[in-house]
Amino acid sequence: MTPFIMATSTLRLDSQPVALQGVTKLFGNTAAVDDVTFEAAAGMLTTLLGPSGCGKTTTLRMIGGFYEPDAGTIHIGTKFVNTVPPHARSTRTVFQSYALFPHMTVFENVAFGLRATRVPRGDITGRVREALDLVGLGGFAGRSSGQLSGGQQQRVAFARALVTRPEVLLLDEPLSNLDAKLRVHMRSEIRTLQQDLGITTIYVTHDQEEAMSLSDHVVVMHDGHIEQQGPPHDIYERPATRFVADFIGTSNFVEATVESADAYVVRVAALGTTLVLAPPAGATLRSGEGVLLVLRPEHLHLEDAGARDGVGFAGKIASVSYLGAVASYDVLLDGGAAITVASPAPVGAALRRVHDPVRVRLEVDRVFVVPTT
Amino acid sequence: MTDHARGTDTNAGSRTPRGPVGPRVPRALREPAVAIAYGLVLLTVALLVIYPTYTILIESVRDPEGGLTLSRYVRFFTSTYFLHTLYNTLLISGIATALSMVLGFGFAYAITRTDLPLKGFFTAVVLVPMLLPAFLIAFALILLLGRNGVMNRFMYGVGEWLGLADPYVLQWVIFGSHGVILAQTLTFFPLAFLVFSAALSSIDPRLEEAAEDLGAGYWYTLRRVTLPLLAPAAFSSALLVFMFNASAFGAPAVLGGGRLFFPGASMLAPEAIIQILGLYDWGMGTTIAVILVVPSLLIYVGGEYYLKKRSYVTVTGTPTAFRLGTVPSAVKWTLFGLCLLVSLFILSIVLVVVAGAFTRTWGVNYDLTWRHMATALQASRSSIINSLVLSGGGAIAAALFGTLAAYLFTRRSFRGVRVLDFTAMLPYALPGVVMGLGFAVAFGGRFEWIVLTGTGAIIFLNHFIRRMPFGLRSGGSALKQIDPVIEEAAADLGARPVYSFLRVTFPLLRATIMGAFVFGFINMMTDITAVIFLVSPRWRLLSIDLFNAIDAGRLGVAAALSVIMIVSTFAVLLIVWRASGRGLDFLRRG
Repeated sequence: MTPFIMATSTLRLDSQPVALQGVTKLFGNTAAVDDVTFEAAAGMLTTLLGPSGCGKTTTLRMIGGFYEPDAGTIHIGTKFVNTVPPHARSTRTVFQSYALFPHMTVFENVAFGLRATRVPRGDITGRVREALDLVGLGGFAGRSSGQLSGGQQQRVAFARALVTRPEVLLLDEPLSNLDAKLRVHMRSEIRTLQQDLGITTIYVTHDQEEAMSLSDHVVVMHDGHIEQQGPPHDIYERPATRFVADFIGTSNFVEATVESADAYVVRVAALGTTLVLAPPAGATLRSGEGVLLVLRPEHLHLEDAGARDGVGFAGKIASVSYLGAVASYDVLLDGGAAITVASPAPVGAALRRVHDPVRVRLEVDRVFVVPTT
Repeated sequence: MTDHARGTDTNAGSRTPRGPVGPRVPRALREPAVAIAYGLVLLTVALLVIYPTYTILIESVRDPEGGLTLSRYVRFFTSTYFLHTLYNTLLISGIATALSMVLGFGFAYAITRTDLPLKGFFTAVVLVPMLLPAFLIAFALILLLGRNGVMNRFMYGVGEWLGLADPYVLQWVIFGSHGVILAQTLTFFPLAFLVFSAALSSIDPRLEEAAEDLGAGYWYTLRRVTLPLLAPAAFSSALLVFMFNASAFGAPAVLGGGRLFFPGASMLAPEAIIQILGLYDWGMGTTIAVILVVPSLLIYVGGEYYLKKRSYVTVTGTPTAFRLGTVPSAVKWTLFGLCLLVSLFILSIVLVVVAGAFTRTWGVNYDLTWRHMATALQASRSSIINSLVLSGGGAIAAALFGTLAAYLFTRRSFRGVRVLDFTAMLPYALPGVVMGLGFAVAFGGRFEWIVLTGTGAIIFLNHFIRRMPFGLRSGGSALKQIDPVIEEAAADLGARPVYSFLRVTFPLLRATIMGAFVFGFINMMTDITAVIFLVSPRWRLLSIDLFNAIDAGRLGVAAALSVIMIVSTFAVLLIVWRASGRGLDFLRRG
């Protein structure tokens, strides 16, 4: 596979932050994007993550200028851009379908943005060559865009966007049209390219693994609003809502009742015992309130029945699936709750079997409390 | 700010209100180039569509003292003569439409669903009538089946040889209702053919296979699956063909001769022309035109907004593969006979016209001569040039403008654009008589506003506006095939709307624009019903000269002019074809 980065770039970019404040977009009477506020810091990669229909692409299109917000403001650097048409913005998009011009060669595609913005004729050839070298397509200038593979088309789309030296790069699910292996490969190349160039990048995806591996900052969206934002490990380790806990990774949810809560600890009754946990960020809990406990399968440990250290619950294995590196067990706890546990698959030893009695131990500092809704 | 936004707004103070341009201006119009283009479209539609239609309506109810009167409408619907005109129109159009549908379906079915020989030949021949003016077919029928026509001379000879007392008894003379019906069927069945073959080849073949799989035989499948699937397309094309039939002028003028179902009366379109050009009764002429407009509009609105929603025929990117050869051979060979007969008849039409052009006196003396050609070239030299220039220019303008409007309506749309689109499409639905008369009244000084009578401009503008809708429609459907993200990418890369249109959209639409040009050019070269009101001694046209020659019985010169028309039209198309490579693709695709 051709490496994505062939040359260390001499591209000089003037990256700018992008700030959205209370941005709302209505289609008819429904809000596709509802009061969205976040900042994509200069030179960083910010991901808009969420299931289809969550408003992430609509948000990206507002930043690119294809939609105009019905309320709120969008700033690129210090510039207010709500009503600025796409062609007058310093953003460049790599579209999901790449949107290469079918009637033009690779060279003409990449040169398009330079010609359209009246870059002096003498500079164009050099800059196009440089951009094509950057994405490892130096020898492809004369090809027509229809003669390229999916991966090559995507490289052209990147070169076409970067050659104009944008302040912000917008990526709309750029990997979704590639096969699984190429996707993982391109993912790391995009990240390397982005960090080398230091370009502000906003990346839309529905793939949480992609978001986790690429991002400096993740914005999780659902039904048009932001559920949570922060660095990837924060989102993963401290999900603020049931939706985030469910969407990022896999989670067990256990119903619990608050016994008492203050700023530092919350005591909840769950699984027939009382647990002392860290309170959720930004939410005040009252005694007697119902909450959900989030238990990640990989933060649970299967032990032989009768083990006594830490906090654990007895149960029986209900089903086993072997996934190679790990084995996933569904355990029916004696209290009636069903829970999934992921264990590193033992080397050379047998897996536990259905109906085996076991004990499930929790890591109390990795149990999170989220509101029920 | 909207209520909704205010409702979710928790931090109103920090928000900047909308941009400097007020919320009432649609976003599309904030681009100056787009706003100017919309202004141009609006002006064109107002001046060339709404204004002439309006003046016809007013003229028909204006009394000589300047008041309003419905007396002409009362006269129309109480006079036996005018009512007979109406009945003739309805009867002849109805029969010709039914025959066109049958013939069009037969050809389409034979070509799309059977493995008959000569399919390529049939496909080519069926399109020939579309390239000929309607009255040329009527004229050719005279050469074949007129009193001195080849066939009838032959039958007279047979009668004499048999020693019949009246050798004329074997002749089948073309003048009368049957002639008009035959001519109009031949003229309009290709349209039905195009609709049917497009519909037949876009039915999912799996539907018919499913029917057979469930145990249905050929006839049952045809009756319960294939034909019902075609019904919406068939119905809308029948309405369209009926409308063209009802507003036809050429065949009734050439072959009617007062011998239609209701003798003494003509049909509506020729009657309107008689009222204006013969009797100078502008009031009655415009009244008949309005009476023609009403059903046309109903049919157009019905087709556009009702039937389209019911269409079962979907255009998918997947090529469909029908298993040819499942049609019973009796059906197959019956269709083959029909297609062969009609194709040979169409070819003989072209042949007799060419023969007529080089024959001393048709039906009497078949010596070869260049005399007619020389006379035609000399007398109509300026008409030929006028026709080529005005049609060429008009077709270029119509194709480009129609495409531009299609681009605006699909890509730079906003609320209310549908109304504009509807109005811009009207000239397609309005009969030629109406558009021609409308221009004559609107720009003829009767309203003393813009006077264009006697200029080439009035012909050019009429050509342009009548064929612009084709560019609009074909451009619109081509744009639907192009992913808008391509144009978004152009804007994203910094291209302004004009640059993006010229460098991205326009090149992608090249083939469609060529198609619109070709279609427009052919129609403009062969048009007569509209331009008959607009020609002047200084601005004569080839089609009108040809019509006058037929009308005056100068068959040799008429045939020579026909040959000139066909040859010059094809010469232009050949040049375009060469230049574009694929200009005529649309004809095959329908």
